[in-house]
Amino acid sequence: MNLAFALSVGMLTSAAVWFLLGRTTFRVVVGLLLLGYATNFIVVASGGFADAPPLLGEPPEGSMADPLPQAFALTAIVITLGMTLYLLALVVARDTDGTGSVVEPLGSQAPARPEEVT
Amino acid sequence: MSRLLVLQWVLPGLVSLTLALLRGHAWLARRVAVAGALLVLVTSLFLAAQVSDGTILTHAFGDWRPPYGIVFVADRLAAVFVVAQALLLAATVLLLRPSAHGPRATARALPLLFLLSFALTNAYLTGDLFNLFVSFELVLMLSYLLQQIPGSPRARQITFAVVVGNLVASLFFFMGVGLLYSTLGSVNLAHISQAATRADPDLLRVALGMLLVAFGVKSALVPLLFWLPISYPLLSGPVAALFAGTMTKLGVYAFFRTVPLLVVDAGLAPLLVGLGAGSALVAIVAALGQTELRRLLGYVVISEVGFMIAGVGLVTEQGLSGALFFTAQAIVVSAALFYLADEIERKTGCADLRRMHERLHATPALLACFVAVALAVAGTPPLSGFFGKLGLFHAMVSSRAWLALALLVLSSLLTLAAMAHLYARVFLPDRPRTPAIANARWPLVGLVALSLAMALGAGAVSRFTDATAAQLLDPEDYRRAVARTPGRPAPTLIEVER
Repeated sequence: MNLAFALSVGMLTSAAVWFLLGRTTFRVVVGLLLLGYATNFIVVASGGFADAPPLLGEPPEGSMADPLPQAFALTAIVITLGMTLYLLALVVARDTDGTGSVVEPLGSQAPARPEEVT
Repeated sequence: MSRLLVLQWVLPGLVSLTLALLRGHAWLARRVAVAGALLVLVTSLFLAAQVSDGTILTHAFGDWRPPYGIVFVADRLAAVFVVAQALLLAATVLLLRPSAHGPRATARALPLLFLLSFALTNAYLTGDLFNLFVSFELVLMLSYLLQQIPGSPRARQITFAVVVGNLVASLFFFMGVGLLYSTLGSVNLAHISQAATRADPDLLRVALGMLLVAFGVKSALVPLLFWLPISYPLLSGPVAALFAGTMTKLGVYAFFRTVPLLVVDAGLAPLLVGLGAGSALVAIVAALGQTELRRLLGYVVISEVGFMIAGVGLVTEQGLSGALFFTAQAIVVSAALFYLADEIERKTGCADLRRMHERLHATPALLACFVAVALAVAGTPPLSGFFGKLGLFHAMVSSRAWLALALLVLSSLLTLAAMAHLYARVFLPDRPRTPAIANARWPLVGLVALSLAMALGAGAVSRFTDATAAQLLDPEDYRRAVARTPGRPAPTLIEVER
């Protein structure tokens, strides 16, 4: 079980790094999503592998799942979701100017000069 | 009295909500913002007064005692940073004017500034690593929103790069928190500071390494500093000053908080000294080659952060005290630098140093402010930067960190060169007739006066920072205060020596 988790985290992280270094902005967003999955795997795995629901009066505490990592992972998922939405909004606004056309690769535009401040 | 911590945290949030509701009414919004900022500042000073005698205030949310519940802890270190960010918030709100920076930008920025203060206060007061992670995320989110206010395609492009870099760092932080939890059994700082002494050192080193990488990105330490200089030119002037004074210092606070508590093995702390000293030198060399004013100042800020991290990495009382003194005065001074830069950029109408020649006529007040701030940054006596650097260098001599000391001294010399370069480019006109007159606004003068006061009162300030460093190096007080938090009876796992 430990091995399965470790391998999953490794594969997800490698895939995430591959995508993060990708050509288009959408690939970068996908890479971040995968890295988020890998991170949540680590945190959930840090809670051990007991799986009884952590409720009072339920089966003995030895087999109860640790609720803290679950809470951590939930919070982090929500935060990463919000960030990813914002990133996607940036991607859409940046590459299409609101017309909804195809995503352009990051770095395909001419290098911008320092803007004048008015 | 523990409710004071909640008040300090919630107050900026409430002001932000009010400002969001007042979006259409600029006149009223500005009055509310100024009043709110001053109220936050007064509360923070009161908080600092409460903890200045060494008491540690704690508050357990929902009355759930630590380590199960989330706890706010205010010791001297937290108070210093809370006061600093409240001060900069007040200065930014006072200096951000619709007439100068655009009504749309000001209306958008004001609620976000108070939310930023809300998130920063959460970070400074929390006694919990996961809450620290959440507040890091909040601060990052708000910084992205504030960077986006110009709304130009270039702003979006740069913001994208900054968001991706910082998000990866946050995920590293979260991974480190997960690894720490599995190694130590908790995320409460007081609890894990005890457990860290008994844990497997290799696992602990990996987890702490991930944390320190995340903090390094946040504080723009070499080699993780790419995102800061590209993003600072995008921001409205006073907002850039707030960023310079608070964002990187959030990372520095995280170092201050975790290194004395958790870094118990001999490997990671000297690495911080090396990275800090290297960062100081690399950043200032990069600054000397910049042509855009705010990018140059961004590199100067990174160089200052290098000094701070090098001091923290020494983990001695002198090192921590010197680093804290330097941090406190650097917050004030670098914010003042950026306010100056804002004034200069707006009056000359350009951001490029090569074209600023002879476009600016500075009043004597502005010139005096610049000279005071520039010399403070460079660390010449008798200004506050000198005393900060003196404390740091003294600590390095005591710890026999000769290479780091040499790098830092060289960085200080190059900082002086960078400031002289700035002066020559901006303030020395070839021909005397110029159209634009730049004046020093009184919040800027106030910050410069504060820096001078820190220099004149260096003895008092250093006594405070010495006491803070002593408090940081002896976590027994911290653990005792957290263990004694009143709340629902629950067995507290935090062991305290009687």
